[in-house]
Amino acid sequence: MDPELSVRVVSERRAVLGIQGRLNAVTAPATRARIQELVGKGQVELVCDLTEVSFLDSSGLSALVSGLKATRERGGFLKLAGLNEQVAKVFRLTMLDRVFQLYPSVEAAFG
Amino acid sequence: MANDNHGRHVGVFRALGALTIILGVAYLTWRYSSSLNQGALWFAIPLVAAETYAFVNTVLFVIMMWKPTRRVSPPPLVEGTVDVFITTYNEPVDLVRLTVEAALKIDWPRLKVYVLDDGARRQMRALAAELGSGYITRGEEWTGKPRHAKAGNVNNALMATDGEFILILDADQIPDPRIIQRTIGYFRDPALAFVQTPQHFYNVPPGDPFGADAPLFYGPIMQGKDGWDAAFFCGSNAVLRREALLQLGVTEYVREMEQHFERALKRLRHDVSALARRSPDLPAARILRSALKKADQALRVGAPLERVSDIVRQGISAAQDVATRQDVLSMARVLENLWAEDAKVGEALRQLLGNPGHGPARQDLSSLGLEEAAVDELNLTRPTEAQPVLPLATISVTEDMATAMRLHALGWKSVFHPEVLAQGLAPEDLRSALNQRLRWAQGTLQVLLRENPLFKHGLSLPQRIQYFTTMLSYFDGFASLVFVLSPIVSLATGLSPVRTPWLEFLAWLGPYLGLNRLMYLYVTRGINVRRSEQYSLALFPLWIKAVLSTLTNRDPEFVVTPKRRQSGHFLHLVRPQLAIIALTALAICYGVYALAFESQGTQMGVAMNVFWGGYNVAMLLPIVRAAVFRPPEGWKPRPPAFFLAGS
Repeated sequence: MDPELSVRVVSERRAVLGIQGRLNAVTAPATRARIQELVGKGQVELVCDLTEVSFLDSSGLSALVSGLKATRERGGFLKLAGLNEQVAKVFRLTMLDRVFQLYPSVEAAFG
Repeated sequence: MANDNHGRHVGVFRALGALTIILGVAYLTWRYSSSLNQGALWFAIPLVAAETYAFVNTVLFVIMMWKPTRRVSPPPLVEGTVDVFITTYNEPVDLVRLTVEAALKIDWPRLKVYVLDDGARRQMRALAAELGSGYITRGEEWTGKPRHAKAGNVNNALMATDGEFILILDADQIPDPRIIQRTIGYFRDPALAFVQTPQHFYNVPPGDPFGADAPLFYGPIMQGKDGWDAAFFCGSNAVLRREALLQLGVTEYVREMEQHFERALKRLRHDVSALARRSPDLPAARILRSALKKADQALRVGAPLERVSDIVRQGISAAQDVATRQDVLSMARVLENLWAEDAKVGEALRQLLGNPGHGPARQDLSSLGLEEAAVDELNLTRPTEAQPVLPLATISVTEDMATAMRLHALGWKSVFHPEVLAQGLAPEDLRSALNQRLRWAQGTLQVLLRENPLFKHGLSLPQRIQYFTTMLSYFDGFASLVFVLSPIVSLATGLSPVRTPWLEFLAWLGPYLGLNRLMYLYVTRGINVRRSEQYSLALFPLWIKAVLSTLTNRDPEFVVTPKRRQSGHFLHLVRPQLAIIALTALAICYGVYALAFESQGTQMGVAMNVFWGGYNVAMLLPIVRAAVFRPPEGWKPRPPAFFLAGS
């Protein structure tokens, strides 16, 4: 199943990946694939806009970690922005907030 | 009614167990205080040490069986998607065919079956296509990375599938069509991570020469552990919750990143400092040093690793901007001397300085001959692994127990469901059987060494004891060695390990040993544990080998147990046991002769040791028979009934 994903290209290397709805076991593979696709096209500096994510589980987290690896291997980054309290809680539970900086907004992430 | 019986049985067992322990304490007190033969301490001490060890085992056994569960399938869930993973590497296609066919017939509406082929074989792909199952192999991201055998195989498949629950089956384990219906109901508990069901074999020859069946383990023992919420994952025939596995993978990723990050940063800081000191006029070195210091400060105040990594990167970038070719060459000379021994750190700097995406300086800097590892670690890419998130533990060749332990440590729960819902193939010759047991022993001991359950954060005290109990059992070999040698020594030399008369020894030992035996027989009534008991003792050379090889850190390779019978006889595999049998026989003859004609020893002593020696021989003979075993004429294993009925 494809998640709701939207891509806004900011520059040659930069893009914003917006994710809407559920990021879970079912939507994670497609999300992972989309990030790989963007990285393959040279967009290695990505910000994931998670403001409209309604649900996130460990499969979703795993997709984000894969994305982190893919972007940083090419000298880029994957930053996360716009997390609501529910989603932030999932990060804290797995301590993934020790790896990812959680930005309040896309602008702050690119900042 | 059944519950009352169960309650009564548990009560009787507890009484027997408690009494055994009390008698044991009394016995050992007497042993230590009044019985040691001061004149032959080299004999007396090992024996009392072995008896103490055996007593500790008894205590752990009683604890383990203190409150067993007797679970009954709850009604199945109304929804939930299930993935069936059939792991294979080099098993014959016709064998895997049976498993896949049976898996496709499992009674569950939202089911997907996948063949996880680590051998990437054409015929396996064709089989999957023919039968209509999924087929997964490793992708290119695994090239040049550690493959982690079966754990890696499952981890790989987890990234390519999306079922909420996963049934893991070894290539030979044919599932009962009811397997999901009978187990999925337990997952109503949101904290449940997995349900383990027994392993059972349909190719066990009459008499079970190789001790394949483990009805005690997949019965009272696992039920006992289940009572303490410590039933562990056994590698196959289990249903696992994806969310639990993935959550584990993510938390482990964080832990690994933190550890490696700290280490890599520390190493680099140390060496860049030294470099800056020796070449103070190199601006690149100074810039690097201050960037690393800033990164370290950020790390200490708890900044996310992403942020710290960015600081390091910016430092490198700045350093590269000012580094001239001359600088690079000077640095190279200094570094070569500094890091002659620490190539790893060297490579770290090289990568640090050779950050991709930045200019021509990279070329020159990489000529420093430095290593990549640490820098990638500072880059959060987990460069040493194919995929950053590894749900199944990869620290040992038996990944199952370690994974279960980590899940328990995170607060997840487990269930042991005691109904046989899949049947597979046991090793059909002695060499394969021994290899399999050696692998389990080494794997379990590796977990003990690398993640000692006694100290693992997050486990409850009963869980720590349960995991430790299983691991400790592999040290039995040393005690067994003492026990089989003792009668030989006594009969050969006339020496006694005790300074009291043998009769007094028997008077103290008898009740304790008798009650211990009675307790054991009670808890195993109705289960044929004879072979298990014999093998527990008879495999003492294997257990000793497992402990020694694990302690000396010779990494055992993952050896897949062959599923077809290897031919030939295997007497050379049981040389130690043969030696003990021969020595015991000789010692008995000599001991009797020496008693009659040379006044060596006493009648009681010789009688007890002859009996003891005879008992040891009886326990060792089955494994010798297994070494020359040939299946009876015309006997063939029959696949399980449920499988035949369904076809």
